[in-house]
Amino acid sequence: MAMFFLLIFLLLFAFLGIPLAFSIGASCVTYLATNAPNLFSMFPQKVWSGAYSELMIAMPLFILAGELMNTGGITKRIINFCLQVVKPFHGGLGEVNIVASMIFGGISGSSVADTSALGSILIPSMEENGYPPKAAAGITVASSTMGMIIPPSTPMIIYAMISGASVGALFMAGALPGILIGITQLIVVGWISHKKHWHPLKTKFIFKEFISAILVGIPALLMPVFVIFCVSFGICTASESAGIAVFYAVLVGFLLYRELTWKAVFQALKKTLITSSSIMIIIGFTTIFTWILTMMKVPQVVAGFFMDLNMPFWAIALIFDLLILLIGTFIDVSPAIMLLTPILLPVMQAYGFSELQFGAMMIVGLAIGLVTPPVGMCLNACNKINRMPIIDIFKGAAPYIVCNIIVLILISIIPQLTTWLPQLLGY
Amino acid sequence: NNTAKNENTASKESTSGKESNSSAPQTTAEDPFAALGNFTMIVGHAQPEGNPRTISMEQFAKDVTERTKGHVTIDLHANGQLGTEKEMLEQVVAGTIQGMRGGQYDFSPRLLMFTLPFLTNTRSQVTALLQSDLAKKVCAEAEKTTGTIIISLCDAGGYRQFSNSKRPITKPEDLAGLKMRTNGMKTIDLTFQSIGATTTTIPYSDLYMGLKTAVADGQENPWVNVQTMKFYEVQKYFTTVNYQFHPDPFYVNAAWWNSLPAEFQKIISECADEMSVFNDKLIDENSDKALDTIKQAGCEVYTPTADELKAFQDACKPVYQKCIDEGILTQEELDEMLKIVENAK
Amino acid sequence: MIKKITQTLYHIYFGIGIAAMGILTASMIFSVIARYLFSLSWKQLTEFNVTTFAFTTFWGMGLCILNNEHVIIDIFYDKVPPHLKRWLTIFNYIVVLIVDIIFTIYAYKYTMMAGIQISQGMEISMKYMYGIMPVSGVICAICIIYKIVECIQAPDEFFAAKNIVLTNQVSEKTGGSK
Ligand code: NA
Ligand code: NA
Repeated sequence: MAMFFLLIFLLLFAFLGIPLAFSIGASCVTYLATNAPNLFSMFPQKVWSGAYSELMIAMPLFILAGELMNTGGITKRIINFCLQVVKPFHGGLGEVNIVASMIFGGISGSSVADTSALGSILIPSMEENGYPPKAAAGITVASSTMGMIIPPSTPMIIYAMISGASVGALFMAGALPGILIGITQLIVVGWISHKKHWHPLKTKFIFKEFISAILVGIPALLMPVFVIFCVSFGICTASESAGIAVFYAVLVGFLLYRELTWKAVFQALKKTLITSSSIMIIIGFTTIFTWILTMMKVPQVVAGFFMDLNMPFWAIALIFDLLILLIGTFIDVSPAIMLLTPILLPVMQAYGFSELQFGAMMIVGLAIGLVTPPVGMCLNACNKINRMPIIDIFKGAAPYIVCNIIVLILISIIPQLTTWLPQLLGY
Repeated sequence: NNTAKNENTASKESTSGKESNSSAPQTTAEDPFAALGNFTMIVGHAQPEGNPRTISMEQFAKDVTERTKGHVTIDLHANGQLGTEKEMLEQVVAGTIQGMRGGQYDFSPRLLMFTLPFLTNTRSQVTALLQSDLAKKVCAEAEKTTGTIIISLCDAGGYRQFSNSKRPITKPEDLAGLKMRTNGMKTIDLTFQSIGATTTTIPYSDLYMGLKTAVADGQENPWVNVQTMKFYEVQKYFTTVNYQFHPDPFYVNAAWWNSLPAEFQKIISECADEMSVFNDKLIDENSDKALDTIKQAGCEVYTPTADELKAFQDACKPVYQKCIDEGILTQEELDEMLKIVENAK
Repeated sequence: MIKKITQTLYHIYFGIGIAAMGILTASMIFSVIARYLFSLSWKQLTEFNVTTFAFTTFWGMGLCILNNEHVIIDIFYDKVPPHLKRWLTIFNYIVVLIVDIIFTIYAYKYTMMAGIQISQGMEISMKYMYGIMPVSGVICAICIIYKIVECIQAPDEFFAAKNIVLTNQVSEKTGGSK
């Protein structure tokens, strides 16, 4: 009962347009006031424990690194690099968009950052080169889902914080699914572009241009490799690696590409402060929400229900996929992870799933929610760029989202896709 | 709709600690406590299923309910469901929950005196220390300063040992220059620093990888942790130094405790004492089993002689002095502890 | 005159937040370098970093209100006709205000209760850490009231759907978003 009470009030407040953090807070306040006023005293403790996290420092630092890369000219060079890479395959900006998302995803921990960084450059230039606006926006948001699946990933860090799993192992669990999504999306975009004649006319392959774009791009490309390497081999924590990423972006931006200015650093810090605070406040208020659920033993009730069903493992995986997609459609990624993990993980473990596989399922599933209305943060970010109604962006993205759904089903029924790589590294 | 309302009321009562039973009290021969009212005690701890703390708490809950004829029920929340140990202790102090167990001393830092390095080396010494008048005195201070009562004091997880991947440790000098991972607790950090090792903090969940990639040379943990986290796969040299144990206080909110009828207080205290004994026995059994696994995995486990242990203890004298300087204990209390340990041999 | 004072206060408020974020970043980079190049680590520094991070979170709460940067689900909200939207917006801010005030009151009590502990790292009274919450809560309440007043005074066009160009101009003029 407690769960339905809390959820109904949460959705009611949220759809009225109250900021999500305060909608969650308001539903908790309503519940506590009517059911357990003595628990009010723990309200601030739980909000604090959500916000006071060494692990989560990685989030603002990855955001900052991404911002500095945009203003420091690194993002531009990644895109130039991708243009050269797809040239031999007669690929167009559609393919560039996806490959650039995979590389950018290796730096930014968030899909929303991916949409705004690449979208602001690629959407206008795709439209100029003959892509329909819907397709330009759709490919951008669909490929940006990889931002939070390919390591590093802020949502993975939140999942690690709640499940206690190792961040390095989780990052590796997301690598293969992320790459799979990239490859399948490339196939789909290539096929559609071919049919609709979006591909550019054959241009001459100039070896010199190719080499120079690659050489200029290498410093930009080294960063994701380095960051992922550090975290996955346990050399440093996620937060420390994010610190290195910022340091690297500053060095490359100031000294190598010479496009970064102190004013831009200040602006980046300003944006980071706002974004980080707005995400962490949600995490803080969600902590009390989930605490109430545990006090009321909701996870045990849910676990008991699913255990009694006694289904084959693939059936439970697919049911949970549906549940993740459903929740992801209405709730933002971080509260969804905080809500679902304590309730569903014990069930999954009882059915023999590893916390790594479930983590990857949840991340891939919730990433899809970023591009589905009514609540899709990537859709919102894209709307800020091109002012297109989010429903139209979604229509443009739909063909590529099918790839995400296929990968989600694959990783749900084939554990090796998510556990093989971490095991290979010794986790 | 009606059932929903009932469920809500039920949960309201169970969280408020004391249930106001609407049905009239019936005094029968079988139920001598019928007139005393019903109580619920929400108790949290951070250990998972199968851990000695969980098993002993379940036994405690069963005993209390049985002996109070169901008038005091223990609502157990294991596995850190209610938060971290620090958060749960704050909840006890605030009266949101009624009790918690765990090695958490931030409200009663004086309990740290029992974690001085190389103070004891056997189970009987630990028991003597935790049952002493000194321990009772320190526990009693908690009521005055923070409004909690410590109804029992047992062992939190067995003796802590250290290991590393570089060389066997037989004397304090062997530790010099090693990079040891610690959990950041004061007496642990001071111990390694005074012996000449450097300390570093790595999250527990990342420690396996950190040891494997030599971000840290060594670690310190009880045998059971070494076994569960498979640290023996990435560490070669272990020493059974029994260098430190952590007391495991059972904190209860004082206001709630004082509202209990004396009969129930007596029963709960007795059950808690039995739980302590049971808990420590389970810990010893588990430690022995874990040590076997570690030995079978091919690790070198060195057991130091009494003289070698004395050398370690002497090397840690600065830690004792530092704790005295910081007011964790007095020189007299240190002498008293050493005497208790001496007599327990 | 009053406008100038509020502007200055706003810049100080924002400036402290940005400075904290800058310090956090610099300090994280410093601790990585110290640890991996010189094998140095301090538990005081770790705790300082996490505390600064928590500070940026709570401090930014009011800034997000002023800049309309809190995550909002606006799909239904945007469909409300402008003349009703004014009252819905005010209602929403009042709900936010209530939650904020409850948070602030209990955060103050909590600081007083749990603040007697000494922190593990910097070994300071935890009042200085938990105290971030009630202080930020009070500032946030002021920001919410400012926004409510702004809503009451704003012209109807201010509440038009956000995809209409006019809204952008209005919000840019009033120094709204970004
Ligand atoms: Na990423
Ligand atoms: Na969605």
